[in-house]
Amino acid sequence: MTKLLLSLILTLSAYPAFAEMAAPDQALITECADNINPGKKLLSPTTADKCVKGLNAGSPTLLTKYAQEDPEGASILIGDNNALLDLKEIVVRQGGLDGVIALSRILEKPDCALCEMTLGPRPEAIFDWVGKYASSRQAGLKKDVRTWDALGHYRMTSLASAAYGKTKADWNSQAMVKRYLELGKWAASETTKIAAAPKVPANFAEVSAVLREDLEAVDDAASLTKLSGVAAKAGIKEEAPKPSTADKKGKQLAAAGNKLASIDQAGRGEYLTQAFDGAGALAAGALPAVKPVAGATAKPGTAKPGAPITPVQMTAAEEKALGQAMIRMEKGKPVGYMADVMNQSEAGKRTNAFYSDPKYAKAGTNKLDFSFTRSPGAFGYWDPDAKVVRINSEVAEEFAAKRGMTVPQLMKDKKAMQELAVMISPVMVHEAEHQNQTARAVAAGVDFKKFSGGGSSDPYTRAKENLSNTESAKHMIEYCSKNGGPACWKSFHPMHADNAEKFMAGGVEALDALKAPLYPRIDSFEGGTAREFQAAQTYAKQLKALETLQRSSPKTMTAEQRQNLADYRVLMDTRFKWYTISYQENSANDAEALAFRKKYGTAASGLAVPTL
Amino acid sequence: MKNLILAAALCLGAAPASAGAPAGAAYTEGKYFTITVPGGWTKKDEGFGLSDEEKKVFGADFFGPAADGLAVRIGVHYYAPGNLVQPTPEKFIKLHSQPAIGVNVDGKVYGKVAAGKAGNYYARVFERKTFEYEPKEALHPKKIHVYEKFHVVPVKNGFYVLRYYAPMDLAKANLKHYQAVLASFKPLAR
Repeated sequence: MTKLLLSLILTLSAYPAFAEMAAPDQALITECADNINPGKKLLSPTTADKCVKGLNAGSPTLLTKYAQEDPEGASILIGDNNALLDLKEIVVRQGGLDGVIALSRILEKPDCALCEMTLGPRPEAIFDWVGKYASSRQAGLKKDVRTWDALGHYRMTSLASAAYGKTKADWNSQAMVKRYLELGKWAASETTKIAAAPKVPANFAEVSAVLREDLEAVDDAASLTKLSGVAAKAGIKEEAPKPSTADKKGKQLAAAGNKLASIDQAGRGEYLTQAFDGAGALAAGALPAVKPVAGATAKPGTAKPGAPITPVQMTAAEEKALGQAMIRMEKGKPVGYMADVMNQSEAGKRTNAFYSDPKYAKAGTNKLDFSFTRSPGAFGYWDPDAKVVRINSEVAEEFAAKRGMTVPQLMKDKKAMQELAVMISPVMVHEAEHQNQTARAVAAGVDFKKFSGGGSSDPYTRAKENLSNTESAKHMIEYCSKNGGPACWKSFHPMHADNAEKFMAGGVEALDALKAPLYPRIDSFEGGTAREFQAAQTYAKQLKALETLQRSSPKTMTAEQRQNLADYRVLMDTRFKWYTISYQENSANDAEALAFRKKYGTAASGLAVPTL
Repeated sequence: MKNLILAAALCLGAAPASAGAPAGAAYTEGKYFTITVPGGWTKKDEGFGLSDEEKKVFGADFFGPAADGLAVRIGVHYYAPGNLVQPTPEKFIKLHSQPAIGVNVDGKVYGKVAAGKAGNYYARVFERKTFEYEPKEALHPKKIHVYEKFHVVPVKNGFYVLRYYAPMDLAKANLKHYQAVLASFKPLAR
């Protein structure tokens, strides 16, 4: 890569358009190229921010102009500077296991742009960078990624002993997830030894805390029980384990590591979509027992009318029937309880109109396929490959059970069906916006799978979530403004109402800024940009070689070379088009959201605020 | 009562401003304000969307330690007249000192708006206890408790907002950093 960067810098002036660019544009491109050159030892996120903004300025943008002349250089320039921004965001905003999951995503998976700048694949490669650009994070990050020197005396001494034979070099060569798994195994083994020993170690409190941390991270309940048993037997009062997310996170970490490592680039979007929507457990296959709602102990048929009962699972036929009752196509338009609810807001109307739009119908990208399905843990999701929107059956089952009903009984109760439609409508608006995003990308000619078979697709990043969250928030706000105001908000899940509240108070920026750390598995827009342009380097190199040939000796080119040149150009243009459209779409969304907030914002309170 | 709950949770006022805070570095946001940033805290810019100039909102967020995947954050922003985000300080206070959607649906706690100071400048001060939900879009998400405190400083042209955001586990320990930022705050656009 260093060679590639040098080549980028050396050849900047070789492109006619670069020489013809205004001096400030040339200077910016040169500065941006210097910034991502590891040899220059800059790699500054502040400069990267300036570069991304500068390359997206103008109409057409500077990036678009530059990409026409030097697609390889432009793709590295925009991809790598975005990678630095992404790293900064993750390091600064995320800590603990979520941060590790996010770092693993950008450092240890294929198409790692940061690795090309010597920042990866192992986390130790970013320590100096973190010290320079996010110094407050350095100590915590070293501990989070379980680097050898930050394991602590007890772990290090034990792991380096003959029993385990670990060395610093071997340890730090492991992926982050593997380190957690290894520590889990080690902690289980040490716990067994301590349990079998005639005497409890003098430093048990210290040892126990370390072991507990590692066992919780891999959710080793058996060893944790054993450890507590040792403490109880010795009469040592352990601090009650606080309800921690560590065990759950550990499972997620291991599952995410294994899953992401095993899937290819094309499948990653789908996996990440499901991971976001909480439907990652779909792959597990088995149906979990449906948990009763709080306070619901009565079985169906034994409770007083209207009193909560234990949720009753729907059959496949009931799932389908309920989905059809909520929304289906009739005479080219969505109808049903939920379609009616959505017709009461502009965002909802846009969703309904999307499914009726002949422009998308021609391409087959706006087919409505809505139903309920068992999807443990998730509320709902859009599956871009199957092209379906699904709501978790448990949502309807729990909704009915709280009213003392089964779903078939619910379906005979018009008022209850309307209330269910209201509750799930923000999810429908959110997921339909994802479907709409794909349809818009296809219509704009953004086709990442061209020449490789399969349907059209564009990358999935958090920018898409911002758009979907904005639409669902707007739908709820407008719906409640027309349907009872404050009382109406109880119709929605508190999590969805919270999205609307954050949006109302601070706009799209508040949704992204506050919630971004909670999406560790999804590439940010910056991270997705870095990944996609890194993945495209093979095309970029081929294109550069063919364009060089075309410039130097066009008459010697074969027909096949000319065709390849055209095809590779299409592939690169697609990526630049995707990036520019997404960047601009998010700015437009920001502006529209601000206008919406102005329209629906609460009136000024009239508080007397003293000025200086 | 709500105020008492918040105060009791954080023992507000127990520590003098900036006591125990590490030495910070001076930070100037253009022609808008200067503050002293806590030592080791990191500034992070927004990546995309409308620019500061387009929104007419200028400022910075500084990030400290993290818990539950959320970092402690101190933000200082200047809202210029005609900005696209919050037209007046009254509107900002209204949208943040009580539920922005007009109803408290999940047991959040909002304190009263009171008079106070940010450095040497009069401010309206309020605090609140809110939540983040994780995992996102899960059927039964976990609620992460978050503590926030705001100082809204109106000036002749526009207004300033100083904001403290912290996962509850880290809120008390890092409040001194916010107090140090407050003490150092100097508005330049008046």
